[in-house]
Amino acid sequence: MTDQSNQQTEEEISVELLEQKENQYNQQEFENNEEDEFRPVFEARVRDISLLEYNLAPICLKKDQMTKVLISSNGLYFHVEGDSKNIQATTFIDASLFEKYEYNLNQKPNNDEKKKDNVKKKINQEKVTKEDKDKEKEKEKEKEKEEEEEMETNNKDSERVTMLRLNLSVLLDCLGIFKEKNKNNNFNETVGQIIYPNDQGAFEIDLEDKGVVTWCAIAVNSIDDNYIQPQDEMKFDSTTVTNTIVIDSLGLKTALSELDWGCRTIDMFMFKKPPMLSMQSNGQNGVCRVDCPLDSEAVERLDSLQDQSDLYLSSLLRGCVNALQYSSKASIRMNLEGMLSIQLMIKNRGNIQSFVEFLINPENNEEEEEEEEEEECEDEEGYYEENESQKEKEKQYRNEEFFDEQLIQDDQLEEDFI
Amino acid sequence: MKFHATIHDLALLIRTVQSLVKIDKIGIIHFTAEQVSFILDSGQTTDDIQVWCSINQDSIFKTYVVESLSENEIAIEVNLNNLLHALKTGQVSNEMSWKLTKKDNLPYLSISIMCEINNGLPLVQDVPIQIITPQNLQRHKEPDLPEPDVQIMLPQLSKLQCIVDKMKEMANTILIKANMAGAMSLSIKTDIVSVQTLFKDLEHPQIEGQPEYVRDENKTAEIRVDIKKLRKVLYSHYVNPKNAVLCLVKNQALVVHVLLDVMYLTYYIPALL
Repeated sequence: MTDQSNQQTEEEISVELLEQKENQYNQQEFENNEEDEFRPVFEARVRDISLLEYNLAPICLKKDQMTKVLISSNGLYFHVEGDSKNIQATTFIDASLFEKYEYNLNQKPNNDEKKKDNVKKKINQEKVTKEDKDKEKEKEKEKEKEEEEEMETNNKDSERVTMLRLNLSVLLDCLGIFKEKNKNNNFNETVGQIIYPNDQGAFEIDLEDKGVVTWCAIAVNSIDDNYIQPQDEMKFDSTTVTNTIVIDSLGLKTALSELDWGCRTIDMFMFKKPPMLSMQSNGQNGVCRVDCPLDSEAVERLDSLQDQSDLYLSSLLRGCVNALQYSSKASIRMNLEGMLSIQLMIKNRGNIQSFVEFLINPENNEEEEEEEEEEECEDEEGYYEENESQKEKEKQYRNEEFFDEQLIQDDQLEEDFI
Repeated sequence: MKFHATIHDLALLIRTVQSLVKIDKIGIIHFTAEQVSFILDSGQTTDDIQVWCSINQDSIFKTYVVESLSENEIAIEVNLNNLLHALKTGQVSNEMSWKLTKKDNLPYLSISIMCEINNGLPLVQDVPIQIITPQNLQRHKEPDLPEPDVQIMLPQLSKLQCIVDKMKEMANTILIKANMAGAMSLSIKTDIVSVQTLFKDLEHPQIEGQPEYVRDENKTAEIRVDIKKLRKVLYSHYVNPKNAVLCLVKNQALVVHVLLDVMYLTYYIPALL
């Protein structure tokens, strides 16, 4: 029985799609047809899909990567968090980069009357079982509460945003559907259109390449236990930046590829004199160190206020390395807490500038963790603040000590060679 | 039983075997006076893809001698990976010859070439084979299917393969729909995503001996198949086909004919119900 009804729905859809495709790419008809009566929450058109692909592929850190999407009238903000919560990748695609960008939050369509919406909903809900229906009801209740809260906060804010969560890997697969492996220029001809009709709908992407049309609908989760509130996102304290380096992406990628990625952690050293970025992998196969001094061709700029070093999990850094292929330049900043901010300037087609940012927390060693736990147990604010500054001083001192040790080791190594 | 031949168009042979090896490891090669046929049907016991391929013998072989007690036809079963390996090695030389031989009472297809180093170094590769008797060969028959509901010419296979490649990442089965008015769609549907690709203005094949087809929008058919199987079939773009025809037989199979002037490859993909 269900099969038959599914078949019918599919037939309806195919006929409707054929009609839709004829309408959609004829701009006049598109503006005059039904969709004008209800305006989707978000609608955008881009002449070249590579704009989206080149900015989203770098932040896809794993298979089945989920991303938070914030749609505002300024542009699209994508936020991805690693499993360990020690890495965060974000990108912002400005509204001005789209051929058409419309964000309409005031128009809420009446779904029950619109046939198209029902058809699209059916696609997503065909496999809904009773359990799923119950879950959906709960979600809707939660959503209503959230919406109420959102309305309250939004009335205070002038900038309204739509937040949703979707599978970034799936989104990238859809965007790349016409991409042929060996040809680089394929994307010149792929035109894309994104529609997010309403809060219950799916994230829709229509792509057209040389007469062939692909329509994708990606299910959207708006409420989730892992929902990352803006205030819980990782933030980089740029007031305490100690070291900055701007380096050519190809150079950085070449340098990093020399390291032993089988090891668990990678040391990042930033030196003041001589100004240099060093990266070291300590693995079972040995220690490998790569130096990027200021006078190297690949390094554009290096500002160092003090020597600093920290350990980072190689699994986290690997995500950045994969992203380098999409960028022309990378800026790495390290602050007092040891957090890394790696900003990549993306190589878009045409003269378009966009950035992707990675924030990576250092891998604290066990001693530090214990100390931090003890300190955080204290209730009195004053004591806590004192401890914090003490913590920072200790860290600095430890860094310097570490460097002295390192230098001694280096000297010893040299002696061994001589 | 006697067989020896020299190869004329090694490139075509390699491309063919490259397409076939994606489907199955083991294949039957049937040599007749006019044709060389490849049969990959996994003994017809599983619901795997079946491939029936036939090439005009004179487009591959320069000299060709087939002699046997069964009307001068010979059928052998061979591991296609081994065959492909031997053929690729043979690319270094201009002259390749095939011969059926027996060593230690085991049958082999001996592929010999003359390397161009050191004034010609003979290199012989013996590919182990099994002889298929005429009775056994009878058991391998092309599937007998009813007239297809829809027949449509496919767009460029390599382009199709890219699309199916991406769809494969997202779902396990794919629904193929086509009508007799030049439209075909590929779609996948899961809880997370649904994707549909629509091709328009496709041609329909004109079959010899049959009345000219009539464009009919209402004559449609749809079939659901395993995505991985469809993707394997699309590797046939290696042979640089002139045409590819898709036939939909409702509830039974998807048939893809890949055509060149001198050969055809027919793939039978079972439908998922």
